Amino acid sequence: MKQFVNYFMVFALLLSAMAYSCSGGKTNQSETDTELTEDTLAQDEMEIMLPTPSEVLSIVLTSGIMYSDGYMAPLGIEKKTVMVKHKALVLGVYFADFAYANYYNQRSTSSEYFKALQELTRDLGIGAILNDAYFKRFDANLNNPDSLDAIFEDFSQNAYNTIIESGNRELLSMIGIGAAIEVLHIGINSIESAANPDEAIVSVVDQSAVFDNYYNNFIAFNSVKPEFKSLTDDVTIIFKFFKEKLAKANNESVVTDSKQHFTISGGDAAKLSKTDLAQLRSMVSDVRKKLIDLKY
Amino acid sequence: MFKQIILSALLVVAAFVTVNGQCTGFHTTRDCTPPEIEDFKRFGQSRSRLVEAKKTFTYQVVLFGGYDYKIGICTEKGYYPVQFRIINADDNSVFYDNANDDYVETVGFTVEKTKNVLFEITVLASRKEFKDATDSRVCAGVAIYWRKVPKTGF
Repeated sequence: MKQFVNYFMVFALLLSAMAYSCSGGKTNQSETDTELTEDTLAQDEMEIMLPTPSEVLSIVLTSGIMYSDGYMAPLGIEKKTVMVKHKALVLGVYFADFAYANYYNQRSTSSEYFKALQELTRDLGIGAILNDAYFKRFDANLNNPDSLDAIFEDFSQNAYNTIIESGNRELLSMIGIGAAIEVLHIGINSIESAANPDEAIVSVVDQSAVFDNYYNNFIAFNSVKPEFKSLTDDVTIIFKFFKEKLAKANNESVVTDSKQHFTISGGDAAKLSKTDLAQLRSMVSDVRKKLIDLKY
Repeated sequence: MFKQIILSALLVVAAFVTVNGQCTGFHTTRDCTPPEIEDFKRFGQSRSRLVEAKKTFTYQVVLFGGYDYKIGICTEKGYYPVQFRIINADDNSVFYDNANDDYVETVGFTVEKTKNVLFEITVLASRKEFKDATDSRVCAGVAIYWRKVPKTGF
């Protein structure tokens, strides 16, 4: 009889869970406000989207810029990480490095970073979310270069969205700031080998808009956390640097070219001088060193 | 008894995950895909989520200079039209409002300089009568496609 009661209880819970699931969460207002924290709209809520490292790098790596594995963080840091914040930050750094190697079709290097990403995401509890979409396919296609390229491209483009839609925005804010610093580091150091350094410097300026999103998203989730005080202080200095040096001219205009197509023109930003660039490089290098030395 | 508690907890968690994930990938559906995107790639800042009809959802994106964009807006059947606005994040001026364009669901544009903009989405559901407050919750998607502006001339 006791066993029957237990089974009945489980069956009843199963039914209620299914009923709730099938209703799409459409229960009364007071319940959903507390339970559906991630996927439910709040009137004044604004989300900040993060461009993927591969998207940012496709802007940063202008013509003539040479690949250098010296710009990437060394592998093996993932083995030294214990705390969640370190794993998330290093995951971001490696995600940018993976995107960088992949951009230059360095398949072997990309694979090594991909394995490190696999390990870190598993440790952070988001490996299962990414497993079916990417990791399983990677393991099954190790000897198939074309498939690997497709998987890497897919992962580079869509991993952020997969993490967001699984309700891990806070974790992504930490991953994102690691990636933002690494992409800045790669971009600034790549300028020297650019065919057109002026064009490359403009691409660093473009990164200020990207950093704006990464920074504000990180601050939204982490600014009051004591464990992130030092990192918050350091990235705030970079954020303020961009705001101070790259004030935009408010000269945007919209030109309608044809039905259902228009152009947003204007919005010129100031240029960075060589001195400014050296200062930015120094700040970014400092933060990046602390990130990969697990000093935050 | 312990096993039953664990199992029950897992079932409840599974139900919540299903609810939260019900809009996952909504922007990748055919309804959300703008026409003539052969040369375009999907942009990583595309988004799907559960929204409440008649309330505005805003999200901030970075649009890169020197790129063409095509955007598709979608929601579930019966909840159209959807109002979509593109706003300058620096001064809140409105770059585009599809209300001036009969609430079309696709639009194309070019951005000359990289900038932060706000996408504002409001599922208007003007012909829908809601049975209760929760009936107004619906999936909405913003599919963004992009390509480098092709070089012109000889």
